[in-house]
Amino acid sequence: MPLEIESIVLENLYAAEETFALRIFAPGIAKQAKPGQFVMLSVTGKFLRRPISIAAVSGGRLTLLVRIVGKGTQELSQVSRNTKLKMLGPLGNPFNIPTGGAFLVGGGIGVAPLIFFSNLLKSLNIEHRPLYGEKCGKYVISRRFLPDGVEIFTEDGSKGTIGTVLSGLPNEVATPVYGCGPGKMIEAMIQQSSKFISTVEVSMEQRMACGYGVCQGCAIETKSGYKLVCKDGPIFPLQEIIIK
Amino acid sequence: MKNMLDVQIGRLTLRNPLILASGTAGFGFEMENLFGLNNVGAIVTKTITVEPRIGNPPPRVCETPCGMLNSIGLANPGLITFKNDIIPELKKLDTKIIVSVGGENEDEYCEIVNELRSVSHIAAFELNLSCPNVVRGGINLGKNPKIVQDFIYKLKTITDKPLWSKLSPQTSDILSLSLASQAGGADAVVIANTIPGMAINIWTREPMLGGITGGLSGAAIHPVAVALVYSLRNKLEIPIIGCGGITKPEDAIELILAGADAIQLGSGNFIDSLLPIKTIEFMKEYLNKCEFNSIKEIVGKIKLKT
Ligand SMILES: Cc1cc2nc3c(=O)[nH]c(=O)nc-3n(C[C@H](O)[C@H](O)[C@H](O)COP(=O)(O)OP(=O)(O)OC[C@H]3O[C@@H](n4cnc5c(N)ncnc54)[C@H](O)[C@@H]3O)c2cc1C
Ligand SMILES: Cc1cc2nc3c(=O)[nH]c(=O)nc-3n(C[C@H](O)[C@H](O)[C@H](O)COP(=O)(O)O)c2cc1C
Ligand code: FES
Repeated sequence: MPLEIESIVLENLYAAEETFALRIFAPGIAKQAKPGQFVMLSVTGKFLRRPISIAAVSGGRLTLLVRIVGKGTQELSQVSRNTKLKMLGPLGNPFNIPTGGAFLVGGGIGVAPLIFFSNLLKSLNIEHRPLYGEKCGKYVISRRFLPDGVEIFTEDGSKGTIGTVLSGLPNEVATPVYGCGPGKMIEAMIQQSSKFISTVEVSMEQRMACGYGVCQGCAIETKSGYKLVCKDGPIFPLQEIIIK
Repeated sequence: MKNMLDVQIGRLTLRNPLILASGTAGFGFEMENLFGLNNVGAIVTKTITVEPRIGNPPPRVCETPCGMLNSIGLANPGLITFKNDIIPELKKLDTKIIVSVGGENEDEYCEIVNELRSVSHIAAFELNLSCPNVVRGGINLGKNPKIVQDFIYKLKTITDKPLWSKLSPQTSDILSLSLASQAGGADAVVIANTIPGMAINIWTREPMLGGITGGLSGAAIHPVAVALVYSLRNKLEIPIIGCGGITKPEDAIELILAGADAIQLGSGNFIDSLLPIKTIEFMKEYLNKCEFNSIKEIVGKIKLKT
């Protein structure tokens, strides 16, 4: 059950250009959290809370990885140790755990929930390959936050392998695939869907108000009609997704 | 001491004056997970229409200064699903259930009220005469006092249950509409719904909402709600339920001092899911601190210099 808490910021760390990592003391949420779930974070001076994925859990601490894209995330980047942050979580449905073998595909800051997922799969001894792509090297998140063995891609080749993160997938993918990234990445996954033999789950985004399914604010269009990202998702089967 | 918060809304007794506003608490089930609904006076369901409505195209919400816009478009499962699947579940909630009724024309409201009139655990109907996010019905039905009066009168012949008239703040004459509601037989007025609003992303030149315009709620509209409630103070015989922009417990007291017998809390739930509980606790504290015995004593008790 989601908890409404006042958490305490333990650290605010540089993770990459325009990207920071918050380590937060939130034992109640940490205990329940599953990969793919998110929290709604209150931001000073903003009315609505901002949904942010849980990027890692250790002990009673959460790690959140945040990219600055607007005023709210800018404001959030200013928090420091001991700042109190109101939040509600964990929210949404987690990724389904594969039985053996998986590809995790993170585009941009979308890598965040996949880090947590990779950590879990590792602890369960489930073999998987985490792939992570950015437009260019300066946005690549510091390795200290990334899963061991992550394969990095940049579109301009300034770090890791040149190409998009999807270029890291084989021509035929027999194991489940888990993706989180910008609309363009999801769109490309839909275009390439013939190469996926097993299930593909993707994490979707939408502006939110409540985060727990009461306001109907976070609808996205899917093949079976409007779905709520906060309640029906944020994880959806790829074949359900429509990108406009 | 125990009953210092109970209030009387017509024939209905609420254990406290805090009501969860329509569209901001779903059907109560998710709220039940966050705090027991046995704490709040009542919950108003999402507005129900005869036919299911899928709602407006996304994005449906956006941030505005001190508030938010929504263009949900009355997404709801429709009368039949509501009656068959949701109503039986609502019985489990330990609070008064108020069903919000919407429609494109009078007949649709009548059909819903008629269909649900004998459901014993529905405590009252709230008539949504004020939704800004649908093309027909809603706000247009609630514009003309004569129509409002006749319409409520007609509904009164269908049901014995209390009827609350929820009005739009976008009117030049909230008093006439409230008096018309009262004359038609409404048991309370709810003041008010969201204020029509719009936001544009200047870089993409696109509207921020899929529905283009939406309803403004949150802190930004609180002073408007206070003024509207105040304008009705001492002018109605039926209770006033104040609604708009409660984002901290003090805001609820302000609406009550302005003249509200009870209050509804809407988008404040989104910024702190425990706000209803905190508000109820604060009401008790406030009464103790200011040495009142009951919340009823402070209704409309704004001090005015004579
Ligand atoms: C389930 C979920 C998990 C997320 N996890 C992360 C995460 O781990 N790290 C991270 O950095 N970001 C994450 N996001 C995106 C994050 O919520 C937005 O970037 C943030 O809300 C933007 O706030 P802002 O005030 O800075 O931007 P604004 O000034 O509000 O808007 C700037 C841009 O961000 C977009 N935006 C605004 N709100 C949202 C939103 N709720 N979802 C998606 N886009 C939005 C706007 O359309 C606009 O393009 C997640 C979103 C969702 C729905
Ligand atoms: C997301 C959202 C959905 C709403 N849906 C409804 C609705 O279905 N019916 C209705 O009468 N009012 C609806 N409202 C209006 C609220 O009930 C309330 O009147 C309004 O938001 C003002 O109160 P607030 O500032 O406390 O939110 C909705 C408001 C929001 C924010
Ligand atoms: S954000 Fe309110 S329903 Fe999803």
